[in-house]
Amino acid sequence: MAEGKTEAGRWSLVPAVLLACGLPLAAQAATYQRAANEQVLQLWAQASGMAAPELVEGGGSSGGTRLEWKTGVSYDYYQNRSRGGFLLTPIRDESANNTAQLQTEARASGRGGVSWFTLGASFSDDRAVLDHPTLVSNLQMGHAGERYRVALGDVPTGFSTLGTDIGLRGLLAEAYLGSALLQAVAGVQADSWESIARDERRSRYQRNSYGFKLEQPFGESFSAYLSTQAYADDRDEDMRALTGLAPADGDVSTAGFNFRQGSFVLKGEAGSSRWKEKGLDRERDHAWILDASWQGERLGLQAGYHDLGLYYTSLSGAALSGVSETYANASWLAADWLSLNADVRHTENERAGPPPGAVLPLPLPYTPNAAKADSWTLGADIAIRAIEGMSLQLSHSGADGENDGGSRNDQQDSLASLQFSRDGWSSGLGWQRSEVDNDAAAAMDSTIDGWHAFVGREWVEARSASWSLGTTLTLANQRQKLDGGARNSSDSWQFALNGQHVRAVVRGQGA
Amino acid sequence: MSSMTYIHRIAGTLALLLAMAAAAGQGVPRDEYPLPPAAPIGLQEAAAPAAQAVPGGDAADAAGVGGLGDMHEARAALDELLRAYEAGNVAQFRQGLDPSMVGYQVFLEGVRRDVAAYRNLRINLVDTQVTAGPDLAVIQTAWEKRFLSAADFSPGIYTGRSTLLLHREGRGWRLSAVAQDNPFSSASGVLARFTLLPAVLGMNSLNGNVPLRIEVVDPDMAGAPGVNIAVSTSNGDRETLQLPAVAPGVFRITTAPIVLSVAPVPGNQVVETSWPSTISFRYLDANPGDNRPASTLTRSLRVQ
Repeated sequence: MAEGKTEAGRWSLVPAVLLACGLPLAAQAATYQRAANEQVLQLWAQASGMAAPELVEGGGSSGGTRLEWKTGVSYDYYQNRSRGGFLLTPIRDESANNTAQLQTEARASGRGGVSWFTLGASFSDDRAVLDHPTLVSNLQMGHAGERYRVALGDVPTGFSTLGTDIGLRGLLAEAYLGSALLQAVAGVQADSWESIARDERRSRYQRNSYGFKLEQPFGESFSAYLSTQAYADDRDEDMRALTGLAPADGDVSTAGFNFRQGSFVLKGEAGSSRWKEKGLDRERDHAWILDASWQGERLGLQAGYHDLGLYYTSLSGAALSGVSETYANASWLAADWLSLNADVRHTENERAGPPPGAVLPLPLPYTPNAAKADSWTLGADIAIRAIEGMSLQLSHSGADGENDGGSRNDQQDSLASLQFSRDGWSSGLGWQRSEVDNDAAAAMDSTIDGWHAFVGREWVEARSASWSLGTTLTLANQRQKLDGGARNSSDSWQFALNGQHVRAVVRGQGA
Repeated sequence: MSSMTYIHRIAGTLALLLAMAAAAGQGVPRDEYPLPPAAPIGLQEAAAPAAQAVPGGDAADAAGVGGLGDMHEARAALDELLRAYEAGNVAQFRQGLDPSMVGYQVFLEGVRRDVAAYRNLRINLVDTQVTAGPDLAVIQTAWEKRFLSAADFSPGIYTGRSTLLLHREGRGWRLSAVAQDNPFSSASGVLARFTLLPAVLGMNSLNGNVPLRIEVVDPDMAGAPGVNIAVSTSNGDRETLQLPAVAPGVFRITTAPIVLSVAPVPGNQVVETSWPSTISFRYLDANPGDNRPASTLTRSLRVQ
């Protein structure tokens, strides 16, 4: 039996200081229009991308435009002890490190709308946290009027599942044209702001991207949309040498709809794309998805069908190409003390087999992934009424899969977990079993039995919760029996102590 | 997939949808939840007030620091997934996924396979950047995955860079997609690292057993006994080299059968090249991530 062990000790001091300042500005400005502001905020939230800002109503002689500025600063100083070397832990032995984070947010709101600026930055001399001493972790500025919004910087963009659903660094603009919503985004997919400025900080091609979406409601329950988007990798020879990959470009157009009636939601989308890697032919492919859900008082249902071609490309991180799947999922609150859930699905993974026209002599199976699989999950959450705060969780799931070429690829896992929480105490005891039987990766075929236990206590200052202290002890053990005959086991424990003090200073909240 | 299978699945899905529509029609009055103009469905639930970034503060304080709280919550949800993955707790991990996620089962298959293949699994995030809105959070991070191989306890490390998308639902943030390299799942796409050392060979070293390190690190192929490398020379030879696994997802040879020849014979397991020349080595990565289909990684070796 072989054993491996990594230990790392870490003391963390986390003083958090949170300052919040609200400064009245132009108090003599025009009358504060509450209804109009709510409308602005609603439109702003609908357009998404950032949390809806809060407009502070000064009251009395105050009102009109207000400027809010909030800054959070955290600083950690800690020392490490570790064993095992770089391959087992990123933590350097006997090192003392400093890590700080800064987050600031400014908002100006008035009759003209809401303007905002956010900036986050991290600083550390710990290479396990930051690869370089400083990192701009987020940056955004923008303005929202009554029927439009413009944002510049880090813009999370969620047009649709098959179109654009990703974060870009660039410009996002949204506006209502009558009742239709037009959204446009243009920017670059890059590792970081620093990587845009400095070539040596890049790990892959920078991807220049843009997208448009037009959504039109029809009645109160139905809306339809069209989107089009495209991208192109930088022609960067250094990156080609680094990754071995050729740059690529792609474009995709999608059409979709959303329908909601009561608690029933139906969403569908179809897309057609073209993808081209430099030096190769252009590949066209299609995708479509249909998802439905219904949430009743005690019963929730979900079902859907997804079919994405192998060469389908998009600006959406959610659009995994080469997958075809049908699923149904249900959760049922059978009694006040019993909740049941189930999930069944059939999946076909085109990526598990060789791509059409592959000229290489290929191994069989081509990958260790299942080319098709039927899977199921059953679970139950049981509140044990005789003991307040105690609950039992049970689940079992399995998958019967088949590799490219027909060999077997089966998996199962089971879990039983008992938990108890009351009066600041929390504790749990769990057992789990996992079995893998894959003819394409037979060396890993095995059964793993494991158990874990934890106990924790949290203290919170009762009046204002300005400080809290928590501690947790966790123990775990896993024993693996490989089908090849080898055995291994691993034990781990963790003791954590966390404290936090939050100080809020509020100044200048109107006259 | 046969057309009959297609028809059955589509028919089954439609039947389910119809049943749900019927249930909805009976259970809820029409227009109870009218859509706002052109708003994405589900947004009203999603646009919840900002997080409690100021514990114990009143509602106004909490809402006032919205973006900060959302970022912390999204990061905490990701950390919880990481800990469940490291502990091999597949059931808990599954609870953090959106059932409507495209490739849900492919993702879970890879997670289960990782649980079997690696011991003492640890993922360390570096250069993490969080951008959060009320219902969508984007987390960009580089990651290092350290482990011991379950077969022989040899240590290993994978690295990558991911963009993770989380959507807020009633119970909190749920992972809905992983773009670029997937740190969690061996089945969902990580760009392989293909290295060739040295990049230049002298003519005199081509004796049929050339010291040449060819290595592929491809976490998607963890568990596979080997991978193939296609070799082509500028004088027309075409060969396939097999790289055996030396650790999960790591495939390597340290010598290669390369000789000088003016009349190469394709397919004879010996790379026959001329002088001077260029030899190309190609690895087909089935799951490169980053919205790419199977892609070819190419390295070149100059003979001079």
